[in-house]
Amino acid sequence: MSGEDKQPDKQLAPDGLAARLQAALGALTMDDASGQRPKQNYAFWGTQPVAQFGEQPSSSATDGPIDAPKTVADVRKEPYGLPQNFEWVTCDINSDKELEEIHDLLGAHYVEDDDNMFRFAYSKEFLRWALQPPGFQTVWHCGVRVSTTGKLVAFISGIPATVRAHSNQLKTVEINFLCVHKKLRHKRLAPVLIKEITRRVNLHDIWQAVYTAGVLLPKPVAECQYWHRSLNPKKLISIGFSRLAPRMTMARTLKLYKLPDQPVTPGLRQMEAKDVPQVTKLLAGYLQQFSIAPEMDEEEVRHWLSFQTDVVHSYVVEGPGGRITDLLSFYTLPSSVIGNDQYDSLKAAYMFYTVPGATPLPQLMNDALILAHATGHDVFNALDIFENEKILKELKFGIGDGKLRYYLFNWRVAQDIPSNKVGLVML
Amino acid sequence: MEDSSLEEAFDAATQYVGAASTNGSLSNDQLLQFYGMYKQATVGPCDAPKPSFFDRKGRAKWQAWADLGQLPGSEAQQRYVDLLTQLIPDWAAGSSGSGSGSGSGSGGGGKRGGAGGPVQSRMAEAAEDEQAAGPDATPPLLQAARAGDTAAVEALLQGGSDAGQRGSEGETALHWAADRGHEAVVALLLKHGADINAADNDGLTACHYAALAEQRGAAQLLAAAPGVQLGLRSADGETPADVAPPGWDFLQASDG
Repeated sequence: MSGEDKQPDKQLAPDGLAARLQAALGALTMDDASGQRPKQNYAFWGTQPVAQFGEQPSSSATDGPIDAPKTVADVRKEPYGLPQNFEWVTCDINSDKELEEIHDLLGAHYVEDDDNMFRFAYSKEFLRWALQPPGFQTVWHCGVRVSTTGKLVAFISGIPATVRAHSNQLKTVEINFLCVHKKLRHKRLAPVLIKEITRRVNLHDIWQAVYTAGVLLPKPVAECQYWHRSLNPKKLISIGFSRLAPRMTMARTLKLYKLPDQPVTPGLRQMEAKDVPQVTKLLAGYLQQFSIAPEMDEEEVRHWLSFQTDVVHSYVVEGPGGRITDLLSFYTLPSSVIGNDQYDSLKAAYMFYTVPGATPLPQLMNDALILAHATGHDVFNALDIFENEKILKELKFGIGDGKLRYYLFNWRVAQDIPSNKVGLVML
Repeated sequence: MEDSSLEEAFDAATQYVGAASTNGSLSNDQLLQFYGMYKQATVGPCDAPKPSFFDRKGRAKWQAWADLGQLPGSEAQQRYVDLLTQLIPDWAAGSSGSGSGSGSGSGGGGKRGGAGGPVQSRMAEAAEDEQAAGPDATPPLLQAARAGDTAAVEALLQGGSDAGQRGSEGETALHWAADRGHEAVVALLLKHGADINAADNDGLTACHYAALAEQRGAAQLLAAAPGVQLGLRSADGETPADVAPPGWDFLQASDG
């Protein structure tokens, strides 16, 4: 590349023109940046079997698949092509070395906030839990390596899940952990990863998928709002996760968020293996009221809700006669704190499946806050899904700056699902 | 591999920015930043003479380049790509240079995630400000102490304001200065006879506040002031030392 000045000179538009254009496009580009408004067209998603913005109402009158029915025999047998010097790899989570590679890739290149202050830092134990539920397929832990160096530079995963959307029971995969090395974001690997994981899933005769994203893509089935409850307000303020209200003292802020050391609900205890059958029934019954929710059998409940410190914390309320009346659970997802002198990690608890039965929901959730605080979590995060909307404020949650959208692949719903009818948590 | 892929990313990014510069999706300030990093990456540290005072645009461009100092070229390339990714997360996924409207939105990580992942949300600015909505009923002296405005505090006290007046939590100006770590205001209030041992509705003194808010300088100032009682207990039975970070031995009450 030469040292000539020509190209950048052309790039710098005359002041007046740039200002005019900026004014004209200001509102649009700002909306685009925050992903609040559909774009004109989606080069990749426009080609995929997903509901599109502005579809004719007639085509979405009933729930159903978008693609014409196919069989495994119709599925392309060979993997999709990658750019030169990249190759597919199936990652073995049970290999410490390969798990470490995924862990390191995600740790350096996965989701950050708008101001690049925090980046998710899933623990290895968490990844083992998240990627190996009952029925998991190793081929759905799909990586890309650099051929010459062997370095893992991209990843995408699918795990099996039965999900009910309105009245239809769907055999799906949950797609997650799509990550491309920062320096390779220009290579358009993400669409290839999505097509390849789709192919690998289709080969198992599964044709629907569930996934979430912060950005607006064609076309969400549900849009949900993040809320945050400070557990360690001083640290959260110090790392810029939240800020001290201008008219409040730190002393008063600490008092506002102070929690007791012990949960208040009698009979609340850690969930144990013997609780699995009762919890399975309790959860299934509770999730009936939601329009999109998982259907978990006992093995899945055992996997997803067995207490594992700093992975998933699950508690039940045991009433008279050993009857399990309530469930509460949250999972631990730390983030790296980027560029802070005092702290390098933020330990967040995320609300998982919680079922109020004999205990009022606000009390049960407050106990979740107490337990999360007592186990060293700095903040408790929840979406406005389940019945949360009506209790978040009274429990001193503050609204977040992030939304989470739920998407279905190759499945159209006639009716969008309001957030308080969402009963599905994705990690 | 790393270097050549950075070169490629940088080349792709410069093409994108070149095209995007004509459609207004990047502001002048952003274009100036890109310009500076481009020069740094392709030419090296700025050695051009500073354009004349009357060449406003030329000076702005020169400044954007000169501001990067001795930044290595590869780092400039990386920052160029990072800035573009920050401004337009899916620039690489869209067709090159068409600006808004054609990205696939499947970036595979980065801000807010691509498809298939969670969201990194944090507290929205307004979240904890709800109590602050409406007019501020805090007395002016307390507001000035909160802001660390020594001149205003001095003027109010000279004008007859009572150094002992209270806010809604029973707190004094000294509490606010301690909470926010405004040491000059702490000293000024003490000089004007503010009660160093005044407690708020929860029995917390200014020393408690400085300890809770981890304002070490203010806490040291208060602990060394004449008349301070470090053994005072809050409604929860805690002394300032009890609520302080470990190692703040200067808050130990010497008289037990």
